[in-house]
Amino acid sequence: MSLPLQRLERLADAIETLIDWIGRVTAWLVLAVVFLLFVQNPLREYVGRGQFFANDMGQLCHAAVFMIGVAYAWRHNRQVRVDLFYRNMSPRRRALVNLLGTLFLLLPWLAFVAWDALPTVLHSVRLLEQFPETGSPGYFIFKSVLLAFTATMTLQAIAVIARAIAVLSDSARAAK
Amino acid sequence: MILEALRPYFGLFMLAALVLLVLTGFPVAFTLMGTAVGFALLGNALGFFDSIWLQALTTRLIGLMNDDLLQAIPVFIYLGVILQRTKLAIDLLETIAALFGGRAGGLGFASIVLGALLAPTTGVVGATVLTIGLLTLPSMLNAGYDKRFASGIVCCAGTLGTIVPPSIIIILLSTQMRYAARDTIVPGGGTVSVNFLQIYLGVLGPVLLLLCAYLAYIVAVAIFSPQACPAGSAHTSRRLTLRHLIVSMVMPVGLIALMLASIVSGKLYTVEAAAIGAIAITIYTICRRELTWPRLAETVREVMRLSAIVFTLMMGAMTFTLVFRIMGGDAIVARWLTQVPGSLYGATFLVLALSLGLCLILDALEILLVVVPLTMPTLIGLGGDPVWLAVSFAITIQSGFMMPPTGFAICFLRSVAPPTVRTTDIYLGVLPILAIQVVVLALLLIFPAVATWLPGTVYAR
Repeated sequence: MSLPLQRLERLADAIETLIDWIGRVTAWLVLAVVFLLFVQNPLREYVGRGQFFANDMGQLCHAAVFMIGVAYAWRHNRQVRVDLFYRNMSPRRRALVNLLGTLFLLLPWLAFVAWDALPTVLHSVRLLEQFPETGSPGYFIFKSVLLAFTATMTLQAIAVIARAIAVLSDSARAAK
Repeated sequence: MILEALRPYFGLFMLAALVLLVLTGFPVAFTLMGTAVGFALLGNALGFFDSIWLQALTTRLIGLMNDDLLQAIPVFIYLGVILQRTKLAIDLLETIAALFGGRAGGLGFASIVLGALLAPTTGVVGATVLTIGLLTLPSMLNAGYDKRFASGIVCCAGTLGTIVPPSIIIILLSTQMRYAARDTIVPGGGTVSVNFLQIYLGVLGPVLLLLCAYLAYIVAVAIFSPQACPAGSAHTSRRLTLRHLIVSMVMPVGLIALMLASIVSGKLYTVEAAAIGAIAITIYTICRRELTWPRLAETVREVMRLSAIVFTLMMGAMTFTLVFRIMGGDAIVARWLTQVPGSLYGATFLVLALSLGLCLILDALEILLVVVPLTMPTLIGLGGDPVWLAVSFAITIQSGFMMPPTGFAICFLRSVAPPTVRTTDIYLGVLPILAIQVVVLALLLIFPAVATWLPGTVYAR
């Protein structure tokens, strides 16, 4: 394997390590979601306050878990595929599917979301926006999760592309 | 000129492109997103579509993040993963098997009961559907069960999880039906609405019917060919201590009681009941030293991955249906469906048959998230009861899982079954179960009251 290819592999490794690390930390919020849901009933029925705050924070944790989880699940190659043909493809073919798919299917969508969400989120952060119905603080953090989503997805997309290119050019070289 | 003529069919090209692209094996969710954006851009260039519409995406994504009913998904997945990672489910199987295992067919009986009891915590994605099967197949084969009979039992016990409420499939189906009812144009004006609880209650009747039919099938086999399902040996029917029974039954029974209490009292949401169950199970397994720190860490990671898979698909389907609708694709679907002979029944039959066919290549979630928003508004508009439609759809999907040659349950069973179980054994084994499915589905289509009676009575008060 040539030096540029090794560099590509190393880049992909570095990104995936980062995504893994982010995922491992964020995953603990699952317990927060469960706990915050658990306390809502007693808060509502016996304490009479705090339930809305608990609900809003639960929603925030829940959103963070699944939005950041998208890149994390992809990094572990767990996103659902129809493997009717995929399972019998050569590594080269698979790399081609992943490369073209990421470039022409995923990234345009991601670009749209990022381009559209950025002003909304920045506006929200500038205002330190509160939750609309309950007035709990931190709605701007909730909206920022969208940016964390696009950022982690873009990174993982780069890793997938890098790996695919490495596989493709390596096997092209081997074929010569 | 030609472009103008093609314009009404743009939505159909989109659907065709989706089918082709999905077959390449690129993740389904991303393919949904990309096809939608690609056609939006193409339509924009041709002047069919204003890409400004895509700005609705951010609003919809924030709406998805904000939907508090969907918090149920990580919580239920958490329950399911904990059950898989600890000995709880095995304990439960052993207890039920010890209760029934002494008789012919007892283990089969136990598998079905286990499937029904654990259902609320499974049914996330194809892989988890057969967690139950993984537990029950080896014990049945060891006991000397007929391979075909055992395979059939495993398939139906494993897929029960998709339809017994409150499975994740049922939660998502309710969400999608709620949107579909909202989008329905009722001829002559008026609105239709349906909520989670109505569908939840509606599915109970048919599920009970199915359960009874499965159990009757096992009893029939036990009577007419007892050699196919011999009584458990000393190995399988371990002596049952009272303590063991109480400890392992408390969990599922307690969970079900909590769910019921939440419905009856109206003071506790189902999601909260599930969270109480999750906390209880966590504490219990920590005390039994089954849930160690690394195992808990691996559990939360798996929960995050599985929930993310569900939500990625929702984002993909959301984008796709948004663009499809603006392209006028839903109008074509509606026009076609209203022209099907037999009106409501013909159209419903067509949609169900199509979904059944899709089960051969797609998982329940994808079918649910694409088929329901595209077809249900029309079916409801034709006068279909949303509860009846939802329940028929759920049972169709569950049956689809068991369809040879590539239904999901069959594929997963194939991958975990020992080589002595031939693939044809599995195919032949599910045939009687499929027959049961067809009968129940037919009953449901002919007598909608099977599904609509219970929610109707509760809501009439």
